[in-house]
Amino acid sequence: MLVFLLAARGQDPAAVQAGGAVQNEEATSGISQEEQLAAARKRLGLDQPLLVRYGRWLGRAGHGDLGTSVFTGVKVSDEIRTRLPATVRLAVLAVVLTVVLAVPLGVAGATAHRRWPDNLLRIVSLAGASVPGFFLAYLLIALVAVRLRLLPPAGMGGPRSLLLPAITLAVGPAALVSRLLRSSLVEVLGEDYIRTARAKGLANLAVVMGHGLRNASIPVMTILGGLLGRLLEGAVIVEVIFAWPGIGSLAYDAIVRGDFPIIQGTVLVAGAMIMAINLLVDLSYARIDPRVRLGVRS
Amino acid sequence: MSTSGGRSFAARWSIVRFSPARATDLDAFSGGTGPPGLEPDPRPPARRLWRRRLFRDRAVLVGAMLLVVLLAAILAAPWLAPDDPTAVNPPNALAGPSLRHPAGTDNLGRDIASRLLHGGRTSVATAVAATLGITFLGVAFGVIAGMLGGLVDTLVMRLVDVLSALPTLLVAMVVLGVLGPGTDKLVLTVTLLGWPGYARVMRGATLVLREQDFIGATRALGASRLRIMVRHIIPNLMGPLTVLSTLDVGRILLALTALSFLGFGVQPPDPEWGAMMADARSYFYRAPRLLVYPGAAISLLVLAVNLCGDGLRDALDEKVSER
Repeated sequence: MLVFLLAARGQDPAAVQAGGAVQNEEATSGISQEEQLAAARKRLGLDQPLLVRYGRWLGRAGHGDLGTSVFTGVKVSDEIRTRLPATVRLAVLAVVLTVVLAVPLGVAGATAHRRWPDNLLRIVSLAGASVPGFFLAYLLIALVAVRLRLLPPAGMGGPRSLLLPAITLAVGPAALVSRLLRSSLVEVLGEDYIRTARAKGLANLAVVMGHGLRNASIPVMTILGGLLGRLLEGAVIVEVIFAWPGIGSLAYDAIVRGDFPIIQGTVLVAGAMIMAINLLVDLSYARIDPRVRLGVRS
Repeated sequence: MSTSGGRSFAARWSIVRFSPARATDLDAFSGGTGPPGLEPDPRPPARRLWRRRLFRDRAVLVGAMLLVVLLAAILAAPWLAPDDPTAVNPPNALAGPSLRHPAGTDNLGRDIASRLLHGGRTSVATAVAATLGITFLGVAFGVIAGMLGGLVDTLVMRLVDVLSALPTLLVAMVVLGVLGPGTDKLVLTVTLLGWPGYARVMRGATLVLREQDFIGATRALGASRLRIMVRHIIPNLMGPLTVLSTLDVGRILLALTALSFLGFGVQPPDPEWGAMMADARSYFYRAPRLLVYPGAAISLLVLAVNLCGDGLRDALDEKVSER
């Protein structure tokens, strides 16, 4: 695990660094003369060999110093610190919406297994997984913000402006989770202990919610890590469209402008977040499913 | 990616969903591993059974029909398209639907219907190319890691771990931002970032297969490891592989169009659905048509593929089907 963490840390900024340097040269050569270019290179330490630069960057990054933006001169760590809360807020609301959408749909699909509501939900959730986020975003803007004037179309102004981007982010994952929850719940509801629960006279709802849902959520948990990672990635597009000032739009602007310290910083932070999430999910998985500890499979 | 992304997501998901089905699938495909001396199984062979289940599924039929219609339209683009997809006609910009331009014209007066049809070719071709590339790399790395084991296995799997820990869409954006955008680079980047999930599944399946008796028998007959891999392991992986890549084409298409939408993929004036939507952003309030048509086209195509993939998985997964 440690090797994997170290390797991942080493891998991505190296590629980014190499690329960032190339692009910076292009960017500066467009606006400055030859000697200015050389000076700029020297100032940024670009006259050093790649490995030296990479080692230096890694050493500084270890102390929390990610360099400064080539364009604005703002420290990368400050830039990320001011942008991160917006992304976290967006992601948290999106996760909540995912659960709120997926659980009822999954339960409804499983309890109506093989009947028309199940088939309808199948189409709905597949459609939800098929619509690209950047299309859904514009549909929501057109319908909710422009036609109905319920919510602001873009930007960050109060909690209401958080809703549209969060819905956009949540639809895809919600569709997948509801599908998985449905098939997992169908399987669980066929188990003997469900029949026992029914036999002792529990109401259908109590059986499904208390005995079924809990066990059915175990396989769903395993995909949660990847799901959250995917959500973070989707955040890039959603933040760009909704002009949401988070990490995603920061990274996008930096890539477009060739601001390589920012690019490195955001990729590092995003990678670290994904790894942290995966670790947390792995740990919580062992905690939620007692069979993982006992080593006994039913 | 993303959307892709979410490579790790799809991979994990597939592993979870396949694990119960995999062993039975492989048993069926490896030609019956049931105990000898028993009466022959009166049920029809597994292959015909799943095929029958597949065609009984109305959602699959709808998906397949949709897919055939869309693909036919896209393939016939040069003959169906009313106009040259790149011919500009500024005086006639943003025109509404007419007989000559059934879907109207875009901001440069180009025929939207023609651009949709031709753009579909690019989108579908890139998605198919990336899927094939990812499948090839995934099978190659997975089977080699699973068969050889030891140091090779460790190295390949660490690489897989590292790649799947990356925020794929973001890294793809960075790579394409550095290399410069372009259709070929787009496909290459998505392919190179996309194979780890497949490698993991294929390695797992190879480890299961490798211990089976028929592989031991082949080895006893003196077959080389290469021959065992190419002639015996890979053909037996085709079942799960088909399902995996069918389920994945849609996701890959979404990732590719997303990258094009952000300006890192197909470049103007070439028509492509994601790029068309990016062009349409500035005209969204005046002519939402420009954005809605390509968006709907992507959604429909991905939905068609997903319906087929979903049905295929259900049909092959005995546990789900027989309940």
